[in-house]
Amino acid sequence: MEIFKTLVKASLKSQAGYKFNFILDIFSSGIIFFSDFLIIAVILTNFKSLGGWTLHEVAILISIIDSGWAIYRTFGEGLERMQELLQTGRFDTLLIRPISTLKHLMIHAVQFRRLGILVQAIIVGSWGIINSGVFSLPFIILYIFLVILAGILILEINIVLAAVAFWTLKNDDLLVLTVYATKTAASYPLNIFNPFLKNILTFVIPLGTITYFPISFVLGKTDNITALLAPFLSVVLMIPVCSILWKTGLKKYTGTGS
Amino acid sequence: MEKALSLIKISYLRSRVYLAGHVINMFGSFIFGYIGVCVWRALLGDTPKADRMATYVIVSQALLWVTMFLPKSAYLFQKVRDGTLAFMFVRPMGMFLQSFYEVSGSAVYNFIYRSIPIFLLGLLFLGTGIPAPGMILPFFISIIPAYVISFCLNYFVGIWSVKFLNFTAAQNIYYFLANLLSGSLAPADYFPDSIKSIIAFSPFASTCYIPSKIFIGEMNPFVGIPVQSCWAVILVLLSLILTRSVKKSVQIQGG
Repeated sequence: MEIFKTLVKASLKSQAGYKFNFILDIFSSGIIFFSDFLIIAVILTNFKSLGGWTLHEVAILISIIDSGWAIYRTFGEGLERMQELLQTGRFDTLLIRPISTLKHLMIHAVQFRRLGILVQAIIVGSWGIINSGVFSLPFIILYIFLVILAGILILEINIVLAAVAFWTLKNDDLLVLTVYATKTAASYPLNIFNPFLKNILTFVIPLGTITYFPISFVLGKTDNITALLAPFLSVVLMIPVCSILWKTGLKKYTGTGS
Repeated sequence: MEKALSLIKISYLRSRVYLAGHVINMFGSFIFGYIGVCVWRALLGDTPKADRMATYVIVSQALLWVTMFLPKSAYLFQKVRDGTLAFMFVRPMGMFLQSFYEVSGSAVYNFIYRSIPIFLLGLLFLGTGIPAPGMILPFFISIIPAYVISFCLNYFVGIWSVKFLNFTAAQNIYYFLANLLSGSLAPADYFPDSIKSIIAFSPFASTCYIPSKIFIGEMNPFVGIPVQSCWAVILVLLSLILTRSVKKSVQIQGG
């Protein structure tokens, strides 16, 4: 815990060194994601719904996935830089540290500027929750759980991709295909996609289980209780996948660079 | 001209080194296009309008690789950090032109290996259409000012990084405006009446909305291309003025 606190403090100090840039970065990182919401808002003001979902309901989906993304990007920057660490040989230095490589990757560069994404996502989500008629204490508790689970699931998917880099030494392009594209898809109601993509978002890269299924249950679009349990199942089932791949990859790792 | 071609070629070849990775990336980009197509098909149902919007979205997605997804800050931030910006000032060609040719090599690469494949995938799997014969040439002509405008907007981010030694905020603000106003997923026609004309004739719309509309035959090229050309001229002039002004305050890092 002491190491965690020290590293978080160090990250904050280094990032807040240039105060103007730091504040501008927090604000500007949020508005990128806000533009994605504005686009769908512009479209849906011309139509009643998207696949039976109103703009307010879609806002809740977007909010959950973006909040989860913000949490992951705040703590998971090291995983995003896995390719760079492996290619430059700097990953070697993590092997001699007193904490596990994975823990170190997650806390060695806490990105406070990503909190701008979290703020905009929560604003969008609050607007959606209030206007879609689901505002209640139980729903707020569920929403908070889903946001946290989204953060954990995105982290787990990125651990798998980081582990892949042990073999390929390059994973940035794979990230676009497997994380960025699926994250965007999970912001929409899955019923607008064909079964192939819907199944990928349910069983392979299960980001849809964090957004579409539980919210469908709460909004009365399905009465299948599995929909509500789907986020928990996904997060739990991903744990052994991450663990095995990471450990196997780490054993296989040989240093590179100079 | 020989120097220009060699700068374009070097940048093209540098991009081509990572071809395998870029093919994966291109599929990711195609998925983004597919998501857009699904959104519009869900909204418009099985109608000719939905087919046109599917084509519009895929063409826009393909065009993003020669407009919005150009090298960040036109490579200038990277050069500020490693100090190679200094070399740009001692070469016979100006900083603006050097950047332009260097980014052009990357854009040519993107067009061949990302834009065309995305469009072909759309044609094969999503049933997107092809332009009317009379619109093919105007469409390709409209890509040129679209690229020049996008380059200049990226170059402004680069100029910001030369001046302030950081480009994240400028890049994010540029991305916000381009994402929202270029019309890649939501064309200007769907914005509120009070602002749709302003957006349709903004420099951002010139990078994506106008060429894509020309492609599907919903915009007169004799209206769209002059608008794009005006923006291209204005932004090039502004780039030259900003280059001259930033040269006075440049700081070289690295070494």
